[in-house]
Amino acid sequence: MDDAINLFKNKELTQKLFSYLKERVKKNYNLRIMEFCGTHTHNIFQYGFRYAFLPHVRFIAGPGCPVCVTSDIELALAFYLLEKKGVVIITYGDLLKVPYNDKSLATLRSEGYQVEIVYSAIEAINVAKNTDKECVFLGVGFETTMPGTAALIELSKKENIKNLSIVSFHKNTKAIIKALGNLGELKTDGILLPGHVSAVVGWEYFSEISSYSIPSVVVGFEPLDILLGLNELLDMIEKGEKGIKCVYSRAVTEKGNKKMLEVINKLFKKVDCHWRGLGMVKDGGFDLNEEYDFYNAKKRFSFNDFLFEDTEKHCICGDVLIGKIEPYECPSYEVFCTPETPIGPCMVSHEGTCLAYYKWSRING
Amino acid sequence: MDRVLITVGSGGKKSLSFINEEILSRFCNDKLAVLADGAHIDNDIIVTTDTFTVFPPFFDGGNIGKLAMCGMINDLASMGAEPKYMTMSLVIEEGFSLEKLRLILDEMKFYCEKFNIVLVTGDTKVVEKNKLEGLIVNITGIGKRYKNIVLPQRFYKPGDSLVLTGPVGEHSIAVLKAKGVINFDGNLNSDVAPLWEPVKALIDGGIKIKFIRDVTRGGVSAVLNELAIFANIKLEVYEERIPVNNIVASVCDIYGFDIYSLACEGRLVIVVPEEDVKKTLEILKSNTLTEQSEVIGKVIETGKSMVVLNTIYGGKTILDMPLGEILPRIC
Repeated sequence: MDDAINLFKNKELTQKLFSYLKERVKKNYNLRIMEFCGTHTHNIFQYGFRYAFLPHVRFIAGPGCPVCVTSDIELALAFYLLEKKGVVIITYGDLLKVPYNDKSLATLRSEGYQVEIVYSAIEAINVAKNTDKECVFLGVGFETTMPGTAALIELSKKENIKNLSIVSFHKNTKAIIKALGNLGELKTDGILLPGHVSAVVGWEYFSEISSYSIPSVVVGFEPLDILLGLNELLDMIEKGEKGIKCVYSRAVTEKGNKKMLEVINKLFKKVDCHWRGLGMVKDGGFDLNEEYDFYNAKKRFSFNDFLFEDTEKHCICGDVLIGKIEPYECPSYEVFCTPETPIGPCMVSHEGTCLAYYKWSRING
Repeated sequence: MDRVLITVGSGGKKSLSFINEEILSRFCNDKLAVLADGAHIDNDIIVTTDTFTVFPPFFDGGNIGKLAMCGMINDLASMGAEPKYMTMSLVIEEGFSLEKLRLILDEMKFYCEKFNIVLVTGDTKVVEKNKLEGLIVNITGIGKRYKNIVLPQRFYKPGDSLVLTGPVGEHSIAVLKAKGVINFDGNLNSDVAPLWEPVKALIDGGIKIKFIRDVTRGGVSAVLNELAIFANIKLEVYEERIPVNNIVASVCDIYGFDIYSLACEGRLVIVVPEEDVKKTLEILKSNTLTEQSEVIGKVIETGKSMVVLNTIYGGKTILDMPLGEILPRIC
């Protein structure tokens, strides 16, 4: 596997393909390519690809950054558990800075509330073992991080850990693509599909995209992966081909990872779910099955005095997420919403579209 | 109520705005305003201070004692000063292992002897158990300006070269491993090291040094951005030339850390005029602590504060001031 990764980082091959593509796109192309996944967004910037193909090909960052789409009501729920129920919140670090109602997990931590950062879900076990307090793990992410959350629950069960529960903010990538497709919002000329998610669920999972007549390619994350994906998309667009192709076959199969899918299906069920800026999405999220109620923080705690004030109306991250507008078209961008004072998660997350644009604009600024 | 967030201590943008809003606004004077690693308090006397809070206090390649000594020595070296005297304050958690404390103090003694540094005064406090994790070490270093060198200089010109004295991020990754938050096969030591000798060799070699800064919290990104802001210059950096250890690169790949924001404790960024760069590299490469030195970029324009990274693959991106804590990405 090491050799495979190094191959897809290979400088000479990447530079060669990069030069070829820069020439290729000059042939009358005027395309919008959406990369679904936040890590693709991040890497396209990091490798220096994002603006290299302008004005012929524009990369549009899609709704695939898990932190970006975590909604206010979900944050409010986490803050409620922390402030009113006195639990220890365990989370991935990305979520720390995301603001709601002038608060964030970071500011609450500074007030003395206990927020623990973990690098993988399973580490939450150690946090719970070292305290008598109730601990709640925030299950954030797409299908990619669900097996981790599932493993945490199975291990808690096995080790008879009583003071640990999870609140599932997990989101369904298939549902959001479907929802956007049905709304006619997906007006891109091609989609780079998420490699990590596909490694778990298999590329067949996204087969409904074919009905939206948008060519799509499942791609990996190394520089050569991304350029191969773009090249494949250009081939498909030229030939008028629709459907899904996969150029990430070293990690992704048609049917996905059977074991992981089994675990996901065993523990989780689809539920309607609120996506930041995109609103309620049918089957857009996952919650724990009833069988696992004991581990579900939403069931373990009472939410009698839970109050929620919808502040998202000030944020038009949703239009940014689906590529409807560019970050600079948002009235808050760079005015009120900056990396130091982020309003929406598109600016908070280092995968966020707005933060990425903010950084880039300074090169030519 | 406004409160102090952890990011204030991270060495990035938030640290800078805290210093501006809370410190400089109250105490501003011509010595402090330079925001250098140390200050000239008299013609030839340079003073620096630093507090060390690493947890756990022992990690691969060093401990908090070595870290404190090297941090002080490197801060003085960045000012072109030879370390002479120091003060030391210890704040220790009740119940801390005396055996460990002795190891830490022995390590500090080793560096005092090696560099002829005299400990002249100090203080010890013990706080109740659980009010502190382990111990905190504060050192004030007093150095003597070497051969009348003045650092940092104010004026830069296109072509001035940026030299980095070794691979980035090894200290951060070694500490994260010691904390138990990440794990990997293979050995990786913190890069913590005292760098007065190579700096002295550069001065002795007649190199017209314009700027030296030791890379600590905030990583090479923070140092380059501080330089760009301080001197109001645009820097271009070549990713391909930045030395990176394979283990560090792999860990960053897997956990999604920004490699250029990771802390070092034994690396310097040095700016020298273009005509001196060859000799600078010769001198640095002859010392084992700086043998992996590389020219990583240059000043390309004045009047604009910015750091542009030319990627390995032929694209361009911004190397920004780190914003806060080093956080992994979710997926």
